[in-house]
Amino acid sequence: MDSPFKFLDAYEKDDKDRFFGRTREIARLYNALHASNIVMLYGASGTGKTSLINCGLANKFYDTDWLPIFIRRGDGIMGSIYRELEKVAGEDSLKGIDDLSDQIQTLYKEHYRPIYLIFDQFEELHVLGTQKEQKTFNKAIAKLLKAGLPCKILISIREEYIAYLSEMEKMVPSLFDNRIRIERMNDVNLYRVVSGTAKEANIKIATPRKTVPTIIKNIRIPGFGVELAHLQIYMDKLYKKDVRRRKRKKEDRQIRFDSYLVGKGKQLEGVISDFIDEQMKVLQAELLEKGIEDMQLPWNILFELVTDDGTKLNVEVDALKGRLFQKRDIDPEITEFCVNRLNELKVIRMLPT
Amino acid sequence: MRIELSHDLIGKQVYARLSADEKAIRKAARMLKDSYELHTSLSEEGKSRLLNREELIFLSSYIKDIQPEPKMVAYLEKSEEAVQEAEEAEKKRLKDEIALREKQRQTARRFNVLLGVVLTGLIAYGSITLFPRIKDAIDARDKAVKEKIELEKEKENTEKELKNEITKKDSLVEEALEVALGPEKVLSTSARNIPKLQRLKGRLEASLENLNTEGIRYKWGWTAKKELQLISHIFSKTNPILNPEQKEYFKNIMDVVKNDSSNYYEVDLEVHTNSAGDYSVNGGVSLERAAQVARVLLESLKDDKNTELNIYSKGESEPLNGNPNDDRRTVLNFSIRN
Repeated sequence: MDSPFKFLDAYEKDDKDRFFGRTREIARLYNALHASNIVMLYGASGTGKTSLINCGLANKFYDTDWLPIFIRRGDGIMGSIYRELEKVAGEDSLKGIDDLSDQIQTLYKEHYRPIYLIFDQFEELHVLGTQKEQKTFNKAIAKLLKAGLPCKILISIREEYIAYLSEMEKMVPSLFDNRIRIERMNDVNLYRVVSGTAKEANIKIATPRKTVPTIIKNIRIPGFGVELAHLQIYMDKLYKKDVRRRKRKKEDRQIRFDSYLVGKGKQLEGVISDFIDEQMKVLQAELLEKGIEDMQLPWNILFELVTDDGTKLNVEVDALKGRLFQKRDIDPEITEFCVNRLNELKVIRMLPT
Repeated sequence: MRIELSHDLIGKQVYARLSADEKAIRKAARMLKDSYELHTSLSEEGKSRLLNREELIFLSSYIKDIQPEPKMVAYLEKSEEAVQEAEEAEKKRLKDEIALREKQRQTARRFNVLLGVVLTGLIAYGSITLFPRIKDAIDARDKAVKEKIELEKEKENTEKELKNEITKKDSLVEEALEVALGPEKVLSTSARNIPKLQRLKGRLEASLENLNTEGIRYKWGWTAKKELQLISHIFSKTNPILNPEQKEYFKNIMDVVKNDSSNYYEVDLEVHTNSAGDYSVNGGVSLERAAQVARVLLESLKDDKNTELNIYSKGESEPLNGNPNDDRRTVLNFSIRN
């Protein structure tokens, strides 16, 4: 049974028709990028910064207006920048050019479009990177900005890591001049998200003025708000529940969310925790079928993907296989199987190469 | 191909499922990485940050699980060497110290034996030949001491007479000042600094005349310790924060003090509350108000090396007899240090 929801994935450019509730933030970000060469987008984890850029901002630009380069730190920020630039550059045109400003200039001459360097999950540079790496990056960005090239820089970072940028600010004094905070969604926008997402997924919402607020109420964490990821998982739960209901009653109708389905304001707890447990049970059952009884095995894979403060950590699959074999004697083939299944089960995701 | 958890919320859940041991391994790995990086960046300035003994002991339990990179292994080895060297040096220092003490003890023992022998010899010799001479010498010394005591007595008498004369003069000055100061009472006889403080008072009064002190009630006085006292009624029940006029008032006072570079002033700031309400609450209120006034005073005295400021938050500990509204006061005591 396929799910029409995004789950924990960020919205991409093609998701334009099912991305709701961020019109104002998109406009602010778009305008800020016109006003300044460096812009910072910050907010709490799970507020949708990546979706705002990858879907909202990307759909504001015509392809001829910009040349976006999306960069994650990977195993080293400068190496990652070079690799991403190389992808859009002509064959070998960046070969032998070490300086970032020179690389950007070369790239601009090839495309004649303003280049947008978009650093997503920028906190990785400070959580995982070395001081030397940070210094090299800061210097390169300061030089790039001074060079006055047609290049804009967008930094997206979790707000609790902003303090880490004080060293960068010394090199790039305008770092904080144009900053945009993305807040958790208010109820009006959440209403738009729920009703818009349901419409796009061809789901009928019966008595929406009653049902939608109940959905929001069910997943609201008191004193905190609503996690968009919880909303996605919860809507998927409702979807599956109605598929079962329809089958049980042998009905041939459109999927429907109604007050009976969403309950009467029953608070949901541990949405993510339940989600992982369910997915892990699926994988553990599959491993059992393969004769592997170690129920802890999938967890051991996931443990390799978090830092010591509970932040996600991106790793090379081959390195992961080697490490798990060495540390826990896990067959690399089994690791590969688990990685693929965890990806399909939406617990992990594969980063584009 | 690189992978990651699909959301930070999953990261938090996964981290929560880690065993305590696994979490400790991660903390150890992070500690090693951070120390190594600090060491690397300090190395560029010719400094170092090697791990100490306790850190090495902590890390040793987890090294197998951390599987550090070769550069980290080299850092660990270097730290271990440094710890060993430091321990060896400490051991050597302790050994040397013990040896030195032993040597000193032996020397002292030998000296005691020698002293014993010499003293015994001297006593024997003295009892035979020296005692009569010693008696004469003691008599001569006693006589000299008596003469010295008499001389000192004479000197003391002369000093007393001189002091009486000075006191007489001081009281004359005080009387004159009493006339000059009006109703305020000069309580001390040593009035050397009072004229200077009197001049300071004049300058302060003149400067306050040009200021908008509407709503500020203040009065002058003298303390038992001959300090010039300015009592200001600034704070009221409804006014917990200094307004710009009040800030200007204190700034102006400090500017006058600061501009007189010929004297070294000591200024005591005391903030009192009345006794209405809870004792501890009043203490907090007084502290808060003292901080506000002190901030203004300190700002004025930023570059002044001739003035010393002492700050006292008195709370409701020193009530005045009379109007309880007057208990809520901000007092500045000015004195001159010679």
